[in-house]
Amino acid sequence: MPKCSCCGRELKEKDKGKTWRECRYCGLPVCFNCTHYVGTTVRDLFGEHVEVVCVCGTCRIRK
Amino acid sequence: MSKAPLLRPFSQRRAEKARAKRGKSRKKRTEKRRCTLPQFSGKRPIPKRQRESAASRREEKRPGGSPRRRRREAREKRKSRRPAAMSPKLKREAVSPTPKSLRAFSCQLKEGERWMERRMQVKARGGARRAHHPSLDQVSISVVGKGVYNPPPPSLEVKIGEVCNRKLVKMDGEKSVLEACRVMGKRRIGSVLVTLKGKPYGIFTERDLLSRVLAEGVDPRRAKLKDHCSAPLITVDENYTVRECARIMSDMGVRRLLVTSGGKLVGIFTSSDLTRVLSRAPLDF
Repeated sequence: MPKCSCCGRELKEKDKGKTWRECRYCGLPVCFNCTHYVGTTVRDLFGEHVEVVCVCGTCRIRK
Repeated sequence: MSKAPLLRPFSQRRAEKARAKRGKSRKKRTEKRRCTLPQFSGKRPIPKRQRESAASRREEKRPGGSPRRRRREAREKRKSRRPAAMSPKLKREAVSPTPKSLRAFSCQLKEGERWMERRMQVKARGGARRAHHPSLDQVSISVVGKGVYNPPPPSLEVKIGEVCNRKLVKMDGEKSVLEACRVMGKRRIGSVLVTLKGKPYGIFTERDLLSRVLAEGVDPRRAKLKDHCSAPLITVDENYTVRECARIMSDMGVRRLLVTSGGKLVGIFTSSDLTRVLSRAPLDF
């Protein structure tokens, strides 16, 4: 059973996307209480845009 | 002693005569009708093989059988489609919820929905008009018409791809701000997507009009959209939930998020969409 990488809460596999998500950078499960959202500049065929991704507390880039 | 026929009036006698005549003729007709069947007429019954061959010939003649047969089959099909009859216990429960059922249904929304389903089933059969559950006053289940059950409205766990606005209004960046304002006013929207050479570049919103055009004293007729729009675009994937998007919007201080799917723009999720979903979300109690 996966556990939140920040608070250690036990998470259910079936609730993925509902109560927890994987960190975009490290790939560890993070519950929605510990999730942070950061804007990342993405350069693709259409040009540059900011994509918001969910990250854990350790991967969060502080301002 | 027999009755004296003369004592009866002539009209009565005539009616009796007519009745007797009619009865005779009816008897004759019924006898005739009965006699047509081989079992009653005393004729030898048709063997099974012959009957089958006749049926197959009829089938060839009329594919799908006779109209009467087709009608009967359709009726049977309809009957089989009908839901199974409700048990009397369940029906009793739906009509007058006992304290036990009250306890069971008062907390969980799902239970309430199930109860509602059952109630609508009963109602569809024309019974239990008085059925009412006190918890239903707090549950946001819309009931339209007799025996119709509407599915629950979207909750906060719904993906934004399902609730976002898929109609994106695009304008070329070379066009003037005034034109964009006209389009926004005509379509009753708060923003337009700005494109450069057909590719999405930024977004021009009401806030941009106030802070970047009007507040700075720029002439909206001459100002170009590409110079006064918000760029780059802030996008989220369509698999994000409404709850997450609400948090992103509050964290980043924006009212609009562009929804992408596989690197392509598919829609826009605005604060008005959020309020729409919130207002229709079922109560979680």
